[in-house]
Amino acid sequence: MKQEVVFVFILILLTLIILLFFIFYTFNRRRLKYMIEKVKLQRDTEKAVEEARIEGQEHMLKNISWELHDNIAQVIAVSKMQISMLTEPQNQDESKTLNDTITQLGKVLEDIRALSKSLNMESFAFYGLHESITQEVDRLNRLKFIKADFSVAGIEVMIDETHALILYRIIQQVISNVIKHAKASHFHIRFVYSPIFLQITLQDDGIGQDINIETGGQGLKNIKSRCKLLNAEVNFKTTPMNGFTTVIDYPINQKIKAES
Amino acid sequence: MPYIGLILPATSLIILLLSKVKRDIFDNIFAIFLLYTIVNESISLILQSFSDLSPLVLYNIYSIVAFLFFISMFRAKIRSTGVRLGLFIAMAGLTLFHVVDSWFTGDYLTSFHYHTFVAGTIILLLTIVYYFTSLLESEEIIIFYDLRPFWVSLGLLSFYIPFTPLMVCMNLNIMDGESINKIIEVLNIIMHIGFWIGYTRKSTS
Repeated sequence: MKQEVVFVFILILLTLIILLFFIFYTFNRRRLKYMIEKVKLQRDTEKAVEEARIEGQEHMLKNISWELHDNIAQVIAVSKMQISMLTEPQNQDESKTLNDTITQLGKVLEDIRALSKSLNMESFAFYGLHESITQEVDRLNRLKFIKADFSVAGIEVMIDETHALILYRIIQQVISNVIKHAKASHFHIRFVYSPIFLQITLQDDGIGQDINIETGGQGLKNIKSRCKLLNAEVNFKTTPMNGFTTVIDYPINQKIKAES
Repeated sequence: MPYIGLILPATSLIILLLSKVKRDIFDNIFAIFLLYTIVNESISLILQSFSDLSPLVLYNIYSIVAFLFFISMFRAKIRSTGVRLGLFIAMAGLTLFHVVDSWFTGDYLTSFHYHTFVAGTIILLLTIVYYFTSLLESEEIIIFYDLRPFWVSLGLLSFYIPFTPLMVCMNLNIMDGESINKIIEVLNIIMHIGFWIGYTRKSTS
């Protein structure tokens, strides 16, 4: 009888252990699944919000681009033409002043058209990433704010158009930061292609900044949030008076992987 | 250990009252149930010590009241109106079944009526399974190990799943009562450990 009780007792304990293990296993598994789903949902929401923000921004830039190209540039072109048709200058000084004014207006017109192009995503789609950056660099050099150059190493890999546009906007944001804050004389843009990554290095020789000090600006935040959207990693290397370097590691094959 | 049936619920009640969690209707019903268990066990001990009267009548009443308490506790945690109504009907049905069973079986004062016990266990298990299912589908799954009802459920499952076949064995004279009582004591300890874990967790849910 005693053996029988021990047997029943062991049987009950085993049943309980199996039952409790099953319950904990099921609950833990579901818990993990729920947490993964929640993180994914949060990430998708953030991505959707960021995409909507970028879309809105692109729309606004497109409108500004049209306004610059179709209105302001046209008015300046007409003004240049009208000035050219003015009465003949009386002396050499007047002639020089008139020619300078016409030249200046021509330069303004050219810059506005270039700016309009750089803001418009349709123009970007037409020229592609490399050509758009080259135009941006030319624009910088023409404006004589800074001496800029652009170089590419490795075999170029086609990047998804939307991603390329976001990368282009990031580069524009960095250029805007350099012009506004860096007090730099040189600015380098370097693309290094590898089979897995595109490394973009944006380097200036300006006054740099202490990255730990909160400036309240949106520039770096925008760069970070856009990189996050691309699953790209961004690093800032800077110390006061030693320039500012932004390094972006963009995973090239992610779009292909996601689609497959 | 003759006092174990008294010590365990008393300890659980003390832990429940001392826990700093915000108590809800589940905890309040559970506290009343523990208090009722303590009173029931005390009277049973007094009857066994000072008179020749059988305490089985107390356990017959306890077997129905305990299940009504348990089902009410989980009913308070279930949001579905349909299921709540279903549980209410089940509680009423269980009470009616107990009355009818006692009427036909007779001998209410001297024998334990295990049919109610088996029926009550089945309803309780179904209720806990439903509670677990809804918990698996809810956001609370993230903190399930902090939920008091979860630990109380585990305690109840640990006790009632093996206890019911043992009860049937005892009533069918397959095993002797003394051996079964020893196993039940261990099961009782396991059940209350579940309660203690639940009421020493940090959650306020």
